[in-house]
Amino acid sequence: MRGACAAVLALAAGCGGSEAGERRIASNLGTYTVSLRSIPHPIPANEPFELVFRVAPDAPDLAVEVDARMPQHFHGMNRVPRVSRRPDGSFRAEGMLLHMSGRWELTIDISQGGRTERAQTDVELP
Amino acid sequence: MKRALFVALFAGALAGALLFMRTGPARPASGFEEFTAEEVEAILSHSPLGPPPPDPTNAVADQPGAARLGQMVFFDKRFSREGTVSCATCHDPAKGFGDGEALSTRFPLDRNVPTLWNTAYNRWWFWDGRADSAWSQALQPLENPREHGFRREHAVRLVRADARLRGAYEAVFGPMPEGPEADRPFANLGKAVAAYERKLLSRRSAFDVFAEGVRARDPAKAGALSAEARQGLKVFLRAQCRSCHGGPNFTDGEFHDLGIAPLRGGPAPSRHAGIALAKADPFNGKGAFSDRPGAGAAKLDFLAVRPESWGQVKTPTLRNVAKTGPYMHQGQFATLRAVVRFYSTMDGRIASAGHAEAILAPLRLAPTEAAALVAFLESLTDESADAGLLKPVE
Ligand code: HEC
Ligand code: HEC
Repeated sequence: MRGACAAVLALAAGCGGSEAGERRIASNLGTYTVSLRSIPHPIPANEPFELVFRVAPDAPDLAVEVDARMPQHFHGMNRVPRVSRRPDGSFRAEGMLLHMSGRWELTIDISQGGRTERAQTDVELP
Repeated sequence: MKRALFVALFAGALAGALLFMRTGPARPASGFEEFTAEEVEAILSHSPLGPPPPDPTNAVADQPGAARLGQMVFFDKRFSREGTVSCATCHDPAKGFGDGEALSTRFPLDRNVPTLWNTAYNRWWFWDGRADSAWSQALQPLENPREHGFRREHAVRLVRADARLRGAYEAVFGPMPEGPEADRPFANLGKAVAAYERKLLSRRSAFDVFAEGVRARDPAKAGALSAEARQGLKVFLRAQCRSCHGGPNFTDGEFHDLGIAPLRGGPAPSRHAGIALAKADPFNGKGAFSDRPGAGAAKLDFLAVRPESWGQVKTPTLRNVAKTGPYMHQGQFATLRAVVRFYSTMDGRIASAGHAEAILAPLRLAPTEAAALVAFLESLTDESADAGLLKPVE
């Protein structure tokens, strides 16, 4: 399983992306591109981690929410991450923890002027 | 020309290798050929179990003097209203640090006594996770009227008046305060008990020797697991037990609702209530008695109370599980066979009030598979514990 960089966008396995560990995903209607990485990298199983990401095109009034769910289990994290802006303009999601092995869907909901788009990627934990 | 030679040499080497393999001594049943690469990866993720994670909220967590004081407190019945109850009364080392009962017949408790083996690896304590550290956990039974029924002022007075306890306390925490302030020294007693609990480790089982053998491709070590237990390990992997009982301590340290019918009382909110209790505990990791409130806050602040938290209980470790029956949060199952029968048939499963675990479907195990899974669970027992930790300090 590990090391396979195939269909699953393996943030956990750390493949793809321009910078080490960076992953680019487009939102569902294609308006935004999210470039994100995890700290630490790769995302550890059942340990706290943070996501750091930029949204392009950016705007001061973007509202961003981050969540993760396990589609096969119909449940999500036991935590609500907090998203904040960093001084350099990027976003930071704190308080993430994926407690089970298996496939997680990581979602980043970006809202502006009442319209929300979702950027989504999968994380496979061994 | 060169290339042909190379091919010929290569073919010869290959034939030689094959020949060697054919004619080599018959290999003993090594225990790893039968596992796929994916299974091997999963197996190795369960072993070895390293030391317990640090607890930054407890500055004395790894001090030997604190562990010694904690062991004194743990076995001392004077820390109770009538002088008849110690931690070991319910957490008996000879009974896997439980009481051997489904629900206590001596105390009016509505949950099964959990083991203390590997308790230091928890992220949350109690079935509902209402304590966020081992040291804040230890303070609760001392003052619970249904357990020790003691008071912090009396605990502090006892330590102050007893030369041995006082000496052990002051060696770690400095002079015992003489004033009426009891909270700080009381918290310190909890930290000492937690330091003792950090030594109650179960991490050298037949399974761990086997995993070492698999890693090093050493057939002798891999033989530590019987053929039946290896078959049970296959069942364990196939059944996805590890999606909850994952990692080297065989637990995610988080909460789930398997829908096991209560023995006594109705369905309880469990985790749903436990989150609020942990956040409100004055001895929690972000409170005044924490040695690093920032670390405590990082753990507590992001907790989500979701509808699905209702009825969830903490996934227990499976290490030493053969010693820690009866099983489940109210001791609903007396034996590992009964536990495996439940996972196999899901008979008697009740509708979850909160969130049914979607991955739980009856496994429909054949009798030999069920027996093999039990044999695997039994292979997680570690008999190498230091006997000096299992009795009062000499
Ligand atoms: C009267 C019986 C009794 C006594 C005495 C008692 N406990 Fe417990 N203990 C329990 C029960 C029952 C639970 C589970 C309660 C719950 O989850 O609501 C428990 C839970 C625990 C846990 C949580 C384990 C886990 O994995 O979550 C720890 C640690 C613990 N006790 C340590 C202690 C210590 C230390 C003492 C002495 C200061 C003590 N206990 C005294 C019955 C007892
Ligand atoms: C959805 C998560 C989940 C899965 C999957 C799961 N378990 Fe559990 N297991 C738990 C929880 C939670 C408990 C405690 C339940 C309770 O007390 O109500 C538990 C309890 C147990 C216990 C009793 C431990 C004790 O000390 O009381 C054993 C043994 C056990 N599981 C083995 C297994 C095996 C074997 C499998 C695979 C066939 C498995 N589990 C699959 C979550 C899970």
